[in-house]
Amino acid sequence: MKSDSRRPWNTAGLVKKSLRVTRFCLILIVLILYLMPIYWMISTSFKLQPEIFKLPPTLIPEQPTLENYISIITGTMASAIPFLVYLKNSLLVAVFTVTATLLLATPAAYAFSRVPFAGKRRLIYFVLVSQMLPVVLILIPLYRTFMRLRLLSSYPGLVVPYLMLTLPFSIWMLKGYFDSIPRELDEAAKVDGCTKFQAMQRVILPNVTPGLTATAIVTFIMAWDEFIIALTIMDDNLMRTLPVGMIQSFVGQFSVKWGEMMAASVVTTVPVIIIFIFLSKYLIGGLTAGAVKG
Amino acid sequence: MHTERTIRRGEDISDRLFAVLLILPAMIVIILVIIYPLANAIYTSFFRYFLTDGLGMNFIGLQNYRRMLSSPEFWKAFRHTLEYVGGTVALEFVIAFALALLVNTRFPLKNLINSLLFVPWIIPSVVVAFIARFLFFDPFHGIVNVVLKGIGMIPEFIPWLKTPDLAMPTVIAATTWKMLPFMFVMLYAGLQAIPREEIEAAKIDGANSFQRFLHVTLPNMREIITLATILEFIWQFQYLTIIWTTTRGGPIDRTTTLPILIYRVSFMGSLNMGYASTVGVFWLVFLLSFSIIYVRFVGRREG
Repeated sequence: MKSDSRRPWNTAGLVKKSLRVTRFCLILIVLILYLMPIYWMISTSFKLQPEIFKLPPTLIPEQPTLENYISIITGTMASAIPFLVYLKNSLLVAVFTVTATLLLATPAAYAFSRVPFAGKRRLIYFVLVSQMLPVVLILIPLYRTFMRLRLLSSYPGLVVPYLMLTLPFSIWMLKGYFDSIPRELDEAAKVDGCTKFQAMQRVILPNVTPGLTATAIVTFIMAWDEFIIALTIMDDNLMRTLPVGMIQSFVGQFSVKWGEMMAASVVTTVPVIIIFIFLSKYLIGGLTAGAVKG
Repeated sequence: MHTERTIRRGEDISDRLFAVLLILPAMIVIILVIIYPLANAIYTSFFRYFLTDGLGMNFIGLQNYRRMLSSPEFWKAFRHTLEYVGGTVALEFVIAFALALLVNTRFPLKNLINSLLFVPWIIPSVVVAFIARFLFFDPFHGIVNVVLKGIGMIPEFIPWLKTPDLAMPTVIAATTWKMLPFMFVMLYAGLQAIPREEIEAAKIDGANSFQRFLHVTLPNMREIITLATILEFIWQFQYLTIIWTTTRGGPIDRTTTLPILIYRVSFMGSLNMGYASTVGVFWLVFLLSFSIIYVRFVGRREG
């Protein structure tokens, strides 16, 4: 095929090649259009209000400025939003959620994958269904209970409900990873005289770094993204996470400060983008691992 | 050495105890944060219970249910939910499938481009909502309006999110933009898993690319299509962040879906926990039937 396309008089080869080029161009166009909103967010975050209102809009900021970033970070903006406090809250909540989820889900997933016991199948389906129950419905009694326990506006008050989103999903995802590890490793550990706990630690865990990483990323993204539970639980402004804090500060104002809003959006997106740059391989692999059996 | 091993084995715990030790912590949490509140919500749905009036809970039987079933507000919200979820999942599926077929070939920078196509999925929902508000903003500088007017598609700037008939398509577009990559990677993985030999055999039999799509690609993709669409359907049913942060269910309730309705009734205004729970229970039953289909499906695959 390669030699064909090198011969200019081979029309079939030429057609094939031009089709390939067209297809590649199409892919690039789709990609650019698809990511355009992200570019527009970034570009706007470096513009001042007069330029944002200009017609026709400027694709590249004519007078790029960091003013929007400075004002959200130093809190000198009109509404004096404690942006860094929101950022800190979001980071702490996400890290706590990831830690708690992995600590609870890993042993459970291991048991579901490896240890024979009665009623296992039913329990697995129970876990699978529990991630599909309506969050808002569960939130109603949870809110009342947490009010009584004085857990509203506290980190545990948010991390614990987040487990209802992350735990079933993580158990299911990790089980898929454990299932893919050959049984011979367990047998070898048994022959070496490992106890069950030792076998679990020594043989299984080091092999699932990709699995634990993928689960950790998804859990982090879920916690970072979550809005409605945070809106309900975190009454105190200084305990709010980024999504809720941003909505409360930017929406419903007299004049919308688009520049600051986009700068805040960029800052909110950066942590997940950083994670994605380094770990996208694990994430995408992890999401599709269970779906495609081969 | 040998004796030590036997002794150790003798001390080792039974499978049953081992499983309990491993699973118990996670189960306790699941029961505390999912099962108990769920049971409590179902219980509450049979009571008159306002968090605001201090009268406590009064048993009223099926009254909340009767009120719900005769409430036009409820049925509207249900219809909007189906519109929102159906619209998003259908749009996602069509675009994602086309995209997966498009990139299912060799081209330069493939890994990078595929990763970039995934980026919107990790953008926080609230940020997506902010971007949508900005892009679709009326009256002066929303880029969508500027571009559409520039190419002559619309005569006047349109207030997308504030026009009753356009608000739903707009939030569907924003949601699809964010959720598309998941469907895309699933379908793409499905395409990759089609055995090469089957495609080659079809080629040898003289099947053109459309016939190959119909007789090789689609049958091989049936499982993953079912899986991905049911999953997305169940997830989207829950999802309210983008609607809440762009339209809050408006204008004139045109984007009020069930989760938005429940949230409004339970946490805003009169804090009517009883009625909100009732609507939630209806939603639960509806969603659960899909979950059961999903579980059956997964169960069959697991063998």
